[in-house]
Amino acid sequence: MGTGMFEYFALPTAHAEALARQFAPDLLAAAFTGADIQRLYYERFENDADVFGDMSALFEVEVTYPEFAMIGGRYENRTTSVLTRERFAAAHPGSMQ
Amino acid sequence: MITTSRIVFRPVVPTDYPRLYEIESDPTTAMTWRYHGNLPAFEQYEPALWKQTQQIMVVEGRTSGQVVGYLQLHDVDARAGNAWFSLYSGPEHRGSGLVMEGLMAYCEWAFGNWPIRWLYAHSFAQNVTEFEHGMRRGEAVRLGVLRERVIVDGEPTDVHVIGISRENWMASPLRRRFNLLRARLS
Repeated sequence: MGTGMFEYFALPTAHAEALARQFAPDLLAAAFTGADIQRLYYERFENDADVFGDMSALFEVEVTYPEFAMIGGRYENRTTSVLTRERFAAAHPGSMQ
Repeated sequence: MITTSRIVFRPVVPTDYPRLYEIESDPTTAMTWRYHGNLPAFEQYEPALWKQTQQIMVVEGRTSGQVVGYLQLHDVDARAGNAWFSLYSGPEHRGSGLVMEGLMAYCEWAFGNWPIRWLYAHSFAQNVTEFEHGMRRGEAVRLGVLRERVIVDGEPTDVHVIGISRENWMASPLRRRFNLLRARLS
């Protein structure tokens, strides 16, 4: 089994971000169902909008790049997080069938 | 070019390519390097070698004149002020410290010539001991570990992410000692 990167963005509006959070579980289930992957990686800057909602808690931060890049006049950390197939399946039994 | 009592650190030239190819062909580590065992034929090696790469510096043994390893500067993001490096050592020189001495020269060269705040490297679990001294001393930091990130010889293998900041390198006693010894040599 391999690994994959999950790139997921929303328009910077409250409505679009809420929709992203709403559909995040279905899209993650589709990723694990459609690809033979064990680990799904997601990268974000510390002040990026939350697009995962409740799913955020399932991701585990594995790498933190301190002050990775300047955004809006200040340096922000960047993190690489991972969601494993087992962790997702345990939290959402039946979603990957 | 940076010269110490043991090494010469200089830009790569095309006549070095066969030696670099030889280093990357070493079967004991070929799977762990960027080609994951699929090293291109020598005729296609040059474009593959320079892919996403800004500069390649070789480490030459001062007495032997042989290229013992090399370092690549790649994926430079000048706007963010960060870049990545890769470090390669000839199999017969691993453990000699020559290429790690080359890494000191590399830090001096990279932070002295590029607008870089952070240098990052990926290190497979089996190679990370090379960085442990630097992490204990504080020139390098482990930014995290990507668990079971790649398959090496059929086994899931962790990838450590190492970071060297300009601030830490410039203030490090190791740098002062390195440059003191260089000054004595010249």
